[in-house]
Amino acid sequence: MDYKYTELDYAKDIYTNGIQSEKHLPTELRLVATYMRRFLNYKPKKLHKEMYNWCENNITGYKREIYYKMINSSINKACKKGTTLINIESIDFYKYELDYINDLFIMKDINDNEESPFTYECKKLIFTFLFKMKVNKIFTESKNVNPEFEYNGKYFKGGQKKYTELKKLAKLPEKVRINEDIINTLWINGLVTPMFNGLVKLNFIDEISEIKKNNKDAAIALQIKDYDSIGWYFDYYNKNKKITFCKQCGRIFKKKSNRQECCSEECSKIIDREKAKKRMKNIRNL
Amino acid sequence: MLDRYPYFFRYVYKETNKKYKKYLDEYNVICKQKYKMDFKELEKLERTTEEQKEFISNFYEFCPVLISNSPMNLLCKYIESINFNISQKTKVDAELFDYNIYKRNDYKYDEFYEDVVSSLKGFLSEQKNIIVSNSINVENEEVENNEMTLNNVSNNLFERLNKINSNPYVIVNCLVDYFYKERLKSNKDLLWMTYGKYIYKNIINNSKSNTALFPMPCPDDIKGDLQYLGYNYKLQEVKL
Repeated sequence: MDYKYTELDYAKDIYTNGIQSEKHLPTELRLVATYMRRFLNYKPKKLHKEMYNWCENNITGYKREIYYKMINSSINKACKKGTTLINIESIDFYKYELDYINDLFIMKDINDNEESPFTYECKKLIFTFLFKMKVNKIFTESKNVNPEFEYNGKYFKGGQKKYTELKKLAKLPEKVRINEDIINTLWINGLVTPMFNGLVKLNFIDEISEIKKNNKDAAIALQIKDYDSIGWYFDYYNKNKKITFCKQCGRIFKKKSNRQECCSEECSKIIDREKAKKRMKNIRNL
Repeated sequence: MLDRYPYFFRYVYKETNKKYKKYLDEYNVICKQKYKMDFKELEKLERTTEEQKEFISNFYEFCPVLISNSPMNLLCKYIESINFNISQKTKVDAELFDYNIYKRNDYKYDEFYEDVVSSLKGFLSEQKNIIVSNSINVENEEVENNEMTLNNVSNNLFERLNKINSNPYVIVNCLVDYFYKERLKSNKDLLWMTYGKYIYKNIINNSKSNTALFPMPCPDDIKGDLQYLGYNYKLQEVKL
């Protein structure tokens, strides 16, 4: 099961059903320890005892002398001030944000007034960057000890792997090179500034914050619930006919044919079964 | 006083290599974003702007290793530039190789196969957890790459599988099928470390010979049967 941005549900699942993936054992132990500390309200002494008991019952081939380092590390992290687990139900985008992105004129060159051939892809990437900053804001503010703390992050950092993941998240075409084509174009237009060590400053965040001050009662234009397909939400908002929501599970997906209504065969089967039930009911009523 | 290791130390310390590779990767990303090309391509440009010159010099100034023209660094760069074609030389044609030579046909093993595989999988899973818990980076929850300490591990595996069947040749037959048929691309070190001597006896038994061809170094003026890294070798029969 996918637990992206739903740490609390993930921790509950591990606590109830045991270790989900041995590959992520340190992370899972940290989640269980934090769950016990913050949601079951175990004091540190009790947490220590319960964690060791839980590990003994849930780790295959458990030996205290082998696992004590990992368990103690997870307990220490859980006891740190501000640690908590959160579920992000959805990420909201306001009309003024989407209008700002859609109204951007992306130039091909600094000396040229011609529009860039990558304009739409640039806007999709800006949308994805904005999504990432919103997620960071929620996580950072909820885990900060100071309740009045406001997160104003406007940087993205990573190597080739992180930018490749970003390209996948933004659902950019395969042929487009995220660094050479898109970010270079955004840099020429002053929307981002490549700095050092893979760090990129997102200049457009300041512009959006300025607009936000005049739009305090703005309406939500888009709610993102599927965190693996951010680019498709931008396509959907811009009335791309190939992007729609599954009639069964509600997930966003890209249609392979015009008549497609469901994201997968499993959802199609469920819908067909429901339709067959209705048909038979009607026939019996006649 | 040097504040960082010289370049060739990346082959001495894993951590240094990791830092350098990460630095190079991130610098390449910024280079592609600014100049639409790799850092190596930027350095090779005939004409560069002032900004590009500064970008190139900053790479060396902030690099976690010292990339100077010292003899060891130059030697390191020279060796890196040679293509030894090692992957071609070590490539084994899977279709020509018959792994049945490692088994002893005198012993039946089908009824024990499932138990042996199940016990092996459980053993490997436990060993993986031991490695993870011993090599955890406490601050970042990263698991460092670690090689299994096979010596103690192979003894434990032998004792565990001995409980299923005390005849090691039966166990070897099961394991050879698992590692060479079911999991063809898996690492075979553990199998050879634990049951190597029994596999060796099986090879001698199945090949009906007690000699093997071994490459021995020979003088440069004699044309040997094999050449490797500039040296000549002659295949000679060795009694096993």
